Amino acid sequence: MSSKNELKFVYALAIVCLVVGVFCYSSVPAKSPEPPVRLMFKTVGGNVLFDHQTHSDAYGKKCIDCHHAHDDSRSDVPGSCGSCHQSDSESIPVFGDNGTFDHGMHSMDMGLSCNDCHHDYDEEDGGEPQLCSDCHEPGVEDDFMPGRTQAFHKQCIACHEDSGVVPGKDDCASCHSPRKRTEAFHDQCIGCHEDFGVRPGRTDADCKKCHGF
Amino acid sequence: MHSTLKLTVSHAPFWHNGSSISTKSRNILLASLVAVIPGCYQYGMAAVGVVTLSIASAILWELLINFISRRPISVGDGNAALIGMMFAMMLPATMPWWAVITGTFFAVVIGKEIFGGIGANPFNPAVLAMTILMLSWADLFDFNAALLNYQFDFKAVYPLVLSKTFGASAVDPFALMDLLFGKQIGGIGSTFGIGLIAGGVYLILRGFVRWEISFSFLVGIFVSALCFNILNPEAYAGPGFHLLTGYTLIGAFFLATEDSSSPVNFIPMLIYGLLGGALTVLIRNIGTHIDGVLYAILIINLVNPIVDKIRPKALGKGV
Repeated sequence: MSSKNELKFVYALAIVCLVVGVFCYSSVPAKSPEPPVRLMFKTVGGNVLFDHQTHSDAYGKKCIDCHHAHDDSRSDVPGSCGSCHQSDSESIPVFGDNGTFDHGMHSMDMGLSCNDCHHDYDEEDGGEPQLCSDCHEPGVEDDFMPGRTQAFHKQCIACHEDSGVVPGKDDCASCHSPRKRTEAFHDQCIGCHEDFGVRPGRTDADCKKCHGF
Repeated sequence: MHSTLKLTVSHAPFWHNGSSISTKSRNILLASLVAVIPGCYQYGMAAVGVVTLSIASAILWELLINFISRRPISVGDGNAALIGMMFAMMLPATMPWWAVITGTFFAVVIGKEIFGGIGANPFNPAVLAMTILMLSWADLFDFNAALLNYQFDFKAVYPLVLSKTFGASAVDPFALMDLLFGKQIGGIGSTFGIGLIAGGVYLILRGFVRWEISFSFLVGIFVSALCFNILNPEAYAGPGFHLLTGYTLIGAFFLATEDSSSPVNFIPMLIYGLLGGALTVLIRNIGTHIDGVLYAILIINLVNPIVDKIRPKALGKGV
């Protein structure tokens, strides 16, 4: 092929590709199908890919089986994942095997749906919870909702009591000296993560990988 | 130092053997179609749109630079179209039009023309553009999120995300034969393994791609993935999985072998490929990125001039 013909061929290729490209982009619908095939829940602990179609088709679930927490203000909020997927407190990887965050209690007993915590946080939408302190506010507590200090105390002390290592009320420094507290939390989380080979290194500078909570 | 070696050649006129850059570009484009067509079949019109827009915009960017820099029109050699095709093969089918056009700008203008055009680029232009886009708009390259609306008859999770997040046992549902035949989500032209291998072998047989680079790249991945797997089989997937997922095959046959950014001598080509394969697995297994092929290729592009100086064979020696 002569260089002139090569040039003509490439010009023709560019024009045809441009026309086809513009046509394809304009013909593909921008909207997502209803009902959705899959959904991606974004969380600070990592994204969660939810296969909506498998739940509705393969598992034979009806809409109402999950979307039952219906009221006018929260009609799009599905029921708790935990109502089917049993989860105990020890299966929450970010807190490690010894972590006492009770996922089952939060999802089943408290009736929180996944989206209540596992969603893309947006300050402008009213500040829905994603961090522990979004619900357990520092210094604010009532009969229903423990404050952040009380929630964290329960989280830690429950496990310490099981091991028979309970700090006295007056001996705050045995837990709360900066070094002790850091060591305790790091050992609690990293020990388990290391066992599974999935962890940030102890010298990892990206603290937010864990400390987003 | 002035060379005292004397070379004897015959008098002009010389006979051209018929090879040309445009022939090479056309053949690589043809070989890539074997992987791109199944991708377009899988993802439909959206994928066709990405591929065609990428090729068209790459040609137009080069044409524009030719006009601006007042240099001869070079798009006739087909290299711009080839860059557009390589770039599109790595993209998800849902890539927005502006990202495709921006990407081809990075590939053709920043990756090639700014260095002086074809043959002068130190990095593979398509790979450079991909990494710039991946660092700038990481969300666009989350294949799990990008392909949410597609229905497949296989597990619709990007395999490398599973292995990275949940360890080797999580990828058990992916049979190697399924991966080979493209039953995985990923880039438009990056997942149909058998097509990429067929295209690569065709290019090797025709002499357009050096087998030493492709072979050593795959060996590098196999050996390093095997070492990781033996050391900790629960955390790290086996070598077969790494060979057939992500950008491995397109990297081995189409990206690492790009002419101006790869070595030409035998030993350097082997080192170049082995290094690329090993780096890929290192980044995948202990790095922060999901796939390491593109970063590994950029790094070996960078060391290419150095490794190519290792014991070059003297021209005409022994003749």
